[in-house]
Amino acid sequence: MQLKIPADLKIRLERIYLFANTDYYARYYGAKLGILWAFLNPFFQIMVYYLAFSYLIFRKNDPSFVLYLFTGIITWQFFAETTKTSINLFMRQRFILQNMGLPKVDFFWALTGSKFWGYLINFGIYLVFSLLFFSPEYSWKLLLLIPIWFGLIAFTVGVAFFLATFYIYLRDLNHLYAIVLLAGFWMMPIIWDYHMLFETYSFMLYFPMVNFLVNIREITLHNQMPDINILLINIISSIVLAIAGYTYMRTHSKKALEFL
Amino acid sequence: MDKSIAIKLENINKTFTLHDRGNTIRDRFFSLITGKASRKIHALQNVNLEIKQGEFFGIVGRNGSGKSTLIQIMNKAIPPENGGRVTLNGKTIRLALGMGFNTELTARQNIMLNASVLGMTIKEIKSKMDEMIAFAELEDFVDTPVKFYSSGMKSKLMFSIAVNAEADIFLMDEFFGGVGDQSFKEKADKVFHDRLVKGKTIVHVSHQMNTIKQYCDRVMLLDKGKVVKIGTPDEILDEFDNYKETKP
Repeated sequence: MQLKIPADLKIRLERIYLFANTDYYARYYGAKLGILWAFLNPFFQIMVYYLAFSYLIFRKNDPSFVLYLFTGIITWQFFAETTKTSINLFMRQRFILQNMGLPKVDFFWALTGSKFWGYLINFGIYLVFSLLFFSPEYSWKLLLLIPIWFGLIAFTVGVAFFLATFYIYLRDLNHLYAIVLLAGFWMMPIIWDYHMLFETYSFMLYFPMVNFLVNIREITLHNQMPDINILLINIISSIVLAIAGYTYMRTHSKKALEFL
Repeated sequence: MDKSIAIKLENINKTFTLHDRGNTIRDRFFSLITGKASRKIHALQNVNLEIKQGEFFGIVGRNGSGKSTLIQIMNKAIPPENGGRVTLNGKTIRLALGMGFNTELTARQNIMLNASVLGMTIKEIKSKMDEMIAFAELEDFVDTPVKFYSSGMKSKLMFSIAVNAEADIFLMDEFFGGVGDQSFKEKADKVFHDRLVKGKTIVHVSHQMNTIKQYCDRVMLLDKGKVVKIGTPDEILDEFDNYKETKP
């Protein structure tokens, strides 16, 4: 039996898809190699890390450090780029918001969808690279990435709801947030070894972004089961954040078009 | 609400607070010292209105009279003040020619995006794509980024997309009457009438008195946010002419 989607929902989903699609491809308009850059960029990025950390400057004993670094950077990039771009989301879409009674939340889905698609491509490059140059042990545990990514998306979109709404009333936010992101990059276990968290700073594992970063690596690098209880707490708290952000955005963005 | 009513406005007031300072931390801090105050602009005052299903309703008034604010309140893009109520009986879309193309995208890509925003499915857009491009007379520029278009080309493209919009109520803010050359105007006039006007409720804000006179069933004259009079096009346009001469 074919699933029948209501006409209004179909139009809405298609619209989100078109916005996400346009946002994703718009990065490559005018470039001679076009969409090919979506693959070349992460490929060259990972090659540079590989050369730098395996042979040149740092000469780490563990050559797989490049995999550690790359998973951390692409996951952080997804969060940072989505939230940073969300700050002036209402401003960018104000013509459409003025004219159509479209739900504002759709623009957040489109933005997150576009960035997550980019993240998945980066992740694909990572898998291919790891299979070519290392002998990773992958198992069914890779499926656990799905709930982790779900939590990551909920956390990211939750932060995005708050930022986009704050920006209506405070124009300094994009500058302030750049500083927060810089601090966040060094506070998260992206470059430094997360194993010290388990011994000394275990409370940090209850911070969703840290927990998702750690668990993505536990699964992809070490084929380890995440601590399900802590992971669940982080996924649930991310969903709560997303709902709180959505409610805040709904109630406080009504006057967005008067200010933007 | 009575089904024969498409739009009902009750006790609509809108006051904008204009801050003589910016919206940054520095501006807010210095405004404490300099004492830069806020000003209140009463954009709309006690507007009550009922527009019937299938009616072509015009709004006229001088610049700053509150026409566009009223249209945005009707569209629920901005809320009225407490106590005000907007009731709409059907899907509503506001059409304006500056509705926002992504200028990096081509005509084809903008049609996909804008037509989807206006309520068409991807299948419908694809089936009408050639027709929209031909109507806008842009066959030779369909894969050119819109940033290279003249303003006339952009207006024609937007008009050709917008007339395919799916809605019961159209709020037109200076949308119709000034697009393209004479031959395009004649073509647009016919499509406008056949596709949009028939069976739809239209609220038409314009400075072009010929379109007001040609199409509207009733017209409202607004001044400084207040309703001066509602009547037939001839009555209101006469009143508007007197108003312009007598009131500064």
